[in-house]
Amino acid sequence: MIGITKQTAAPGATWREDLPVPEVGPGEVLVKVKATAICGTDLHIYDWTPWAQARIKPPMVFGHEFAGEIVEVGQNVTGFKVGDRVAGETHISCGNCYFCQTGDQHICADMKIIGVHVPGSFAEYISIPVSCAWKVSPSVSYEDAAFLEPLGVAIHGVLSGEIGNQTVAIFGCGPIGLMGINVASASGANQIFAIEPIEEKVNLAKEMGATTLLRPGKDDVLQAVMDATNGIGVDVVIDFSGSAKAIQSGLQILRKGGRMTLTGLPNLPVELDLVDGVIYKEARINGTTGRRMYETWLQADKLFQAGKLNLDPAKGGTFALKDFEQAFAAIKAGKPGKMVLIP
Amino acid sequence: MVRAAVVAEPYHVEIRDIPKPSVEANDVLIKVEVAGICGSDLHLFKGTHAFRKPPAVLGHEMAGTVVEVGKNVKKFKAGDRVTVEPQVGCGQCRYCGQGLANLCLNKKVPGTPSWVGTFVEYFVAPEETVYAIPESLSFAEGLMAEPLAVAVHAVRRAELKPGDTVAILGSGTIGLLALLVAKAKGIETVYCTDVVDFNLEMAKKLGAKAAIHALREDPVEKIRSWTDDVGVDKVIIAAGPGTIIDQASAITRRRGRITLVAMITKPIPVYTYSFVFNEQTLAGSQTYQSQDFEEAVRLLSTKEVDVSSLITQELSLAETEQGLKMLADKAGNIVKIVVQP
Repeated sequence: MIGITKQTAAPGATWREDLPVPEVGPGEVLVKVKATAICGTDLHIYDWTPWAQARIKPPMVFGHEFAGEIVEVGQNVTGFKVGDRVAGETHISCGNCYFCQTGDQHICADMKIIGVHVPGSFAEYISIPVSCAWKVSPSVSYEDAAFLEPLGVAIHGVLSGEIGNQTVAIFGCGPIGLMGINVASASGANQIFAIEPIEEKVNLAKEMGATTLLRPGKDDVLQAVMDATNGIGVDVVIDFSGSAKAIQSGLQILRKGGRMTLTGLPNLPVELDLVDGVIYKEARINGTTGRRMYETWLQADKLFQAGKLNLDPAKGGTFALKDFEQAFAAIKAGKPGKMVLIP
Repeated sequence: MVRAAVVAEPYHVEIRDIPKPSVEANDVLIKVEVAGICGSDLHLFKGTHAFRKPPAVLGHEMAGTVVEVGKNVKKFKAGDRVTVEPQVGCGQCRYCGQGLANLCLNKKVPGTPSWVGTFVEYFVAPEETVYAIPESLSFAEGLMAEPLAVAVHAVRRAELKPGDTVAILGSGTIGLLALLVAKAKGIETVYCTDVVDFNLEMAKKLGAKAAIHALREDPVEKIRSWTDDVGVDKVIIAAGPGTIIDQASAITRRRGRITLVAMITKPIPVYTYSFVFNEQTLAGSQTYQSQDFEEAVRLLSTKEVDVSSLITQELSLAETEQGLKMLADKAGNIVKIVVQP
């Protein structure tokens, strides 16, 4: 089969046409990949950053955001059949740790991740445990279905607290931030401030439901938010950027008693003013990672079924799988939206 | 004129005569029998407090005897033993409307131009802030209602549930009181930390399952080893070294909750990655709501919480500066120092 591998412990990736179709183990389904999207994690693997060096064992197919059609089912699989359209859940949880046993498989202490610990989806076929297969309805296109995994990250962050009729500030307008804005809008947020320094990215937020666009560096974010909220600040801040400046700015514009959710992953420690930012405000800062299994998927389903989501502005471009280098180059050039590969 | 302990400039306390306060219609005039030294008084003493700036009269913890009441006052009369909830919300902002005077946008607190501190001979407080204390409590115990209310609020913010394992970082007054409140709520497993042996001994006596010397041992390693490497459900931070938030995160289980009550007056680096990756929550806890103060007075009055062993020094008003320095240097076996104006 065709596919892209991290062939050696070095930057870049390799196009292969001679990969074996994965064997379908017991409890697994073989999926013909119809669409697979590029995540920031894949960029780490592509560029062979220290993060990737510590985790990836070449040669290996990477990629983990995908959707496709089941073409074979392994032993002991019930509930799925050949022809089912599925999206991939990336988490392979152990089922035995404290967190799996208390209903929080998505933060399993011994998590394996598709495309990181086991072969990924940048290929014609992928074999996955049935626990990673999520049936999608016929009305959802394969390209949209490939977005369900990162959309779930956005949903989990945005819906980790009250959102209806709240004033919300969202930092970062990468694909997940844009989807987060769309989810907040679809869930009845009152005002939505989209905060992002890159003009091309923040402009897309308008189409996703943002009511105010702010560009740090050009706009005075603190002043603009205070002016728009009677000097109170916003009820909810959600950071999808992982930027230290965003987190600091977020604590400034958060109202007393507000919720600040951190979903973006920062690289370095962030200087925080804990007295003004956390104690005097009685702020609640909560981190979210990945998606809940499978509450978040159900939430995504409902939003889709209700016709409340429009992910198109978060789509950066569609490329044939063999043109993967163009897709990675587009991301590095700062092109907004998520890039999709079609095997 | 009445005598008062004033921080005239950073690190310098003067005993000055200030005007005796006037008693308005809704006010209660109280002879201060004891006033307590709190960590925030140290911040005022050092000039690092966020809004209490020298020159200012010290103190916001007190207990005393009513000597005079304004004409509208119904609940109190001369001779009553009382303590005071030292914050008055504006009553008009969105937070006061929700019972959150602690978050009031325009609140009045002692030690500021709008309300004198409690290190004075006579203190005036509006009736709604005054609480009766029973004969069975000493004045010093009565004064502990204030820091106890901070602990009650912090424990409430910590959202402790039956069966939770808890770590309290720092065994000063607030840390120890949080321990007592948690124990009174039926929490069995509470690990405490500190860097002073006396405070660690106190934590053990008051019911900590273990007390860890944070410099001689690694609290992260100890607590993770006692919790099957999962971490505790809840952490309360009642100490302020610059690494304390990261330490708390490393001690807490995934999806656990960390409540910050210690005033960390300088910005510190926080490895927020850990909060994201572990889906932890960091919640600030600011003073108390009136319901917490009432709860504190109730816990003291019923002896569900016994704070008598926490009162470690009683000084005269003239010895205030000495008391502040003792607390700053942790010179001696200190939890709560009280002064008698």
